[in-house]
Amino acid sequence: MKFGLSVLAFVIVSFLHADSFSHPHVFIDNSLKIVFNEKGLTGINLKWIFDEMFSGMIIYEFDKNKNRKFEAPEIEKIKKGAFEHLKNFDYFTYIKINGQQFKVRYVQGFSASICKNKVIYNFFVPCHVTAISTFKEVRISIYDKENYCNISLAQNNSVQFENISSIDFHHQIAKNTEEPYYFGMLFPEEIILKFRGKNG
Amino acid sequence: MGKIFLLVFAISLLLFPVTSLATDSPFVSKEPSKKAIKSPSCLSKFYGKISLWQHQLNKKFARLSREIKTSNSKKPLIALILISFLYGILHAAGPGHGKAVTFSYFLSRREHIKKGILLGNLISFFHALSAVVIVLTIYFILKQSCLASFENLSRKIKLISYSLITLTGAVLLIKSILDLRKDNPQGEEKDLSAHPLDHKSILPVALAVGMVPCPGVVIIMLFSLSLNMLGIGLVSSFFMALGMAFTISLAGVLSIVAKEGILKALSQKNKARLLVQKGLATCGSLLILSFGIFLLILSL
Repeated sequence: MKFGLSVLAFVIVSFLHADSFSHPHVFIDNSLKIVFNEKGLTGINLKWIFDEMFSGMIIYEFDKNKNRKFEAPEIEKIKKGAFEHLKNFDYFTYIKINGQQFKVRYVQGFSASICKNKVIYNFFVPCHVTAISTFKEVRISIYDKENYCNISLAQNNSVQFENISSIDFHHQIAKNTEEPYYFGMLFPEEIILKFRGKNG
Repeated sequence: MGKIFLLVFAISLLLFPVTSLATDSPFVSKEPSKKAIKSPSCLSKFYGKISLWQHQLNKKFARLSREIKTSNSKKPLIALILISFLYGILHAAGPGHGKAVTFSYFLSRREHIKKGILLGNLISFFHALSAVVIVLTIYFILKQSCLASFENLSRKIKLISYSLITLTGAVLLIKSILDLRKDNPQGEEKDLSAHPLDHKSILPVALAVGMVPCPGVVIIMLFSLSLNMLGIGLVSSFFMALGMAFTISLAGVLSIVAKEGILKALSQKNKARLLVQKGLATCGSLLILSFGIFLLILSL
């Protein structure tokens, strides 16, 4: 009796709960370049390197002349067929400026390429934050709330900075345990950036 | 015994809202799916590992496929078959794939373990076959964009599948309610070991659940097609289906073992045994009905 009940409880918990669980189909290595100008933050350049299997699908679907390169018309088709829909998912990019949510409504400069059998997406997320004399905090996390894609920071040089001559800044990468996603099972990796103008 | 009924029912209802359908690809989806959010679980680390293993298998699959293309050795093919099988086991541990319906189905009926294995296998093979047929049809017959066409077609098939699951749940629920009035419910006295394996009764259930194409098989097929290796894609899909069959069957077998364990323990208490059996049957059919309605609402 006890055995039966234990198995029953185990099965219910494991299988029914597992039905909601982590199930990525696509794996993405993500790296960011945080871009400043003399006034402050202007946005983030994202580089997504897809796993070989998903890349194979994209290459087969869009590299019509089979030259293992994406030309401009092919990139345009990728943009329409396998990128623009990500707008409905905020391009998997979640930003908070001093604790306030910044919704990513559009991105710029999309391009796609192939390197070592892997498809790479590059695009720019505009996000203007003026630097003042005191520190401002910007938190950036890139993840798929539905976990269809597993997005993780690339192992090397995952976060870089551009045009930092007039900016005083520091950053850290941490798991945001306050805001779990996908049924509370996963925690987003967060880049916590603090910056201010060097000249006030 | 009322306590057991309430316990199972409460656990089932508590866990039900977290059950989700197989996710649509965000690269071609019109909007995010509406899902219930649930609090953290102790299983988190375990499934985090599953995700990591899937990533590693994904990498190995790609590497081995390229090796097969460039070498004449049979070693990478054997390794690829093994990887596909393992990938199937892990993949079916993710959302969808019919585990919850399989589990609930065997709560609602008294069946032999062999039937649990058979249903798991049938669901898995329909699940994989549906994906293979759709990919091949889109590419070789319709010659359209596979990403978009697959998503459209898959959505329609899901609607049909979820409607059929709802119908199955409703039929089983009516049966179990009718049984509640009887002193001796259907199957109560049947000797399960002597009962012949009846394929016909589970075939509609397997078809209803398994007709939703498996996104994992689609990725394998399209990747293999991208390497111009259709045969490898078919072989890998077959072994992945075998792996998925293992996981889905496990849901059925464990459900049967648990139910029979409880009923066996109550063999000296006829009234209690009857009550538990009726309670589990009602729970199982209610769960299937609820899954169907829930998934249907989410996909509309």
